[in-house]
Amino acid sequence: MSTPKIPPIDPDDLSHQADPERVARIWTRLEPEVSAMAGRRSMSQRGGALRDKLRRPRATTWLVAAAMGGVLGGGIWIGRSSVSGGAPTGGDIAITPSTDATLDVFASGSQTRTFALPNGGTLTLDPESTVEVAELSDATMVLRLLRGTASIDGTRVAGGSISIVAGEARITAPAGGSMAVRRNAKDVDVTAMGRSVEIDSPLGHQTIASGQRLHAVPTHTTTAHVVAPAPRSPMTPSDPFVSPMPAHSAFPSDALALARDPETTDPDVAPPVGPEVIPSDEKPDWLTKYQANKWRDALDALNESGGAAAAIDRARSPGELALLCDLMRQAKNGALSIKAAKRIVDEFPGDPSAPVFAITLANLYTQAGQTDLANEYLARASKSPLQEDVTCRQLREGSSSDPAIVTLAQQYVAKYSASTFPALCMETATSIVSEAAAEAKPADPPETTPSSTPSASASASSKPSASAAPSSSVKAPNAPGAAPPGASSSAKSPSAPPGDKPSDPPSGK
Amino acid sequence: MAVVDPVGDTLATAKRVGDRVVLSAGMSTLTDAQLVHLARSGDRRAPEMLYRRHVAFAIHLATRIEGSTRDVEDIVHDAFIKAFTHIHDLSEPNAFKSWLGSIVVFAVRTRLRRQRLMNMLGLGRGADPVDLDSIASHDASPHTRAQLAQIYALLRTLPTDDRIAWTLRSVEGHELEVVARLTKCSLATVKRRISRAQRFLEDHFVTAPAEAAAAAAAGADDASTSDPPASTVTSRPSRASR
Repeated sequence: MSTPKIPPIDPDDLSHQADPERVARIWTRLEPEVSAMAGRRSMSQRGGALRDKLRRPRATTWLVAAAMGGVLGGGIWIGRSSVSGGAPTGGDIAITPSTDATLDVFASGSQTRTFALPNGGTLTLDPESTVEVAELSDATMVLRLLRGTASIDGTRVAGGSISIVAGEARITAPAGGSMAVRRNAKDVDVTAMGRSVEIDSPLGHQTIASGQRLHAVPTHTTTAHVVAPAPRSPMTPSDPFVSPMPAHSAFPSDALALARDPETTDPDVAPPVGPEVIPSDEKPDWLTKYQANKWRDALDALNESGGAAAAIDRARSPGELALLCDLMRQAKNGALSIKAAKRIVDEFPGDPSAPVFAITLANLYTQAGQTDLANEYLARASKSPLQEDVTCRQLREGSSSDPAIVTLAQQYVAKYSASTFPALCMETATSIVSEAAAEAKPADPPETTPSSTPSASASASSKPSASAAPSSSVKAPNAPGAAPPGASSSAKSPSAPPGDKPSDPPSGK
Repeated sequence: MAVVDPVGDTLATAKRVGDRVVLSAGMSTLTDAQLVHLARSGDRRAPEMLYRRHVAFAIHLATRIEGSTRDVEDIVHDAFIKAFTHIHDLSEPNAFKSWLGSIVVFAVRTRLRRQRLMNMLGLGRGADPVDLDSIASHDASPHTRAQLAQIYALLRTLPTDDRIAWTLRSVEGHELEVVARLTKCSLATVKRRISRAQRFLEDHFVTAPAEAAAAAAAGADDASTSDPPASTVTSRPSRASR
């Protein structure tokens, strides 16, 4: 018999490594890639089935992996024999410029590297810099600087311009011009060499002559909240939580239009920065404290300045209301949290965050036991990217005997059966549809009864259409003005996971 | 419908990020499944909220399996990139956390195995000393820290899969089913690996003389179980003599 002598490990004795600095550091690395990914994803959705075409066949992947494995094995073998056969070389490794023009991402690793560009120029990256090719044509080459410092020598470029994009900033050197761009957390530093360089950024259009340097060119549209009663404060046009910019804004109208329309947003634009860009002299005290992670102090400040309810009434932007909503939820003040969220949904229905807050409201009302209101706000979120999720929730919570639910299930099956993403609740929807069909079936006259009465045959012919297409008096829950299905006692396993299939293995992608 | 606790770990993590908290304002009530949906549709705030919600879990998982923080940022970064890249393949959006966990475990496993291979080939860095500060809290007693150092030193000599399974069970405190899910293998395999690791550790763990005497005095109430040892985190096993 063995003796367990390994001491028990108390969780309190373990170190906690998720300190804020580390969390922020990882996110700083992650953010540009996630941002670019989100942009590509949104574009690919508009492109419809392009995703499927872009997916490589699994067999090809395995073949490539096998080939790479072979190459790696051979490389190790050759490497080991060459190391064992000759004296190791010392000193610095000479970096030769790469001439691989087919690369779409340039990364320098730990050393400065130089790459030949397809248009004849050269790209030099400082250590830990990454650049990807955003656009390549005879007339122009656009490189996206993801991090670090990139220098472009365009003296040998015969024609066409070279641009470097970093966030919303675009720096363009004409043929023959050179430039160096360093990406910082929220801005870029630009140096022009050889010829003048054009800079388009949220600050507008600027030109710097050869030899000049421009510091801190913002990479994202940064403005401030309107905090009543300060009507002169500009707002963040790219912040989805903030209402549209006032007419006297100092920002270019095209940038504003870009920010308002998520469909036309530049994929490289990083997530919107929030009220942290509010000038400190205009920032309310509670907000300063809240952003310093002192939410209790923020509450005190709110109370001193007239109370949270008044602040919610005064708030003029969804961004401010969103923060107030979160703050109230932290303070466990459900009523004021609902009040702030309601203002966003009711008064800023066009704001991109409105559907999110509609879901938030639905959750809060569900917690409060007010299912009617929860369903009302759930229905408002149905015209959003969360539509499928909302529909599934309605299907799970609704009764399969409700014709509206049956209609919704039929619509769901029709819409999502060919979806490129795994459908969330296809099993639930199909079971509702089949249950409805089964309920309709017993009333059907047997097919082998030739002597059906006229009324019976009329009944028989009407049943299938009843299950396939609902009565015109029944409104689909998603239709405008339709009553959302109530969360009745006949709810079907609301705790059931939305997916019916097991999670895919991470390595299997 | 599951509603995220607003004052729970979600916001606790988010608040630490300071100024950027506004970015995900209002999203903290959304479930993982809803955030996964938003992320799939190209919403830029959803991945950040998912990151903030689960980054602490991922960091701790990676650190405690690897026994050091040396590569943890790379591992977590790569894991989130992989998760966000393949988020459209996640068939059960509510299971984002365990899916992310399995990616982290897979990434750490790959690194450990590669490190071991490189050492075998003579190309590795060799064995690093145990990074005790990344494992044990500064508030832990010197005695506990010494025990943890010994456990982690022994774990390094174990096969990678055994080490991972034992760590997930006994250090992280996961249920066997969760360990099986995170390591993508069967329950029986997980039990076998944990038992093997436990046996090895018990054979090689050296207790201080006073502690050994106390353990011997504590006696003969050792209950043998067919399952691998219960989590040493959640339920303290009885000390028993041989």
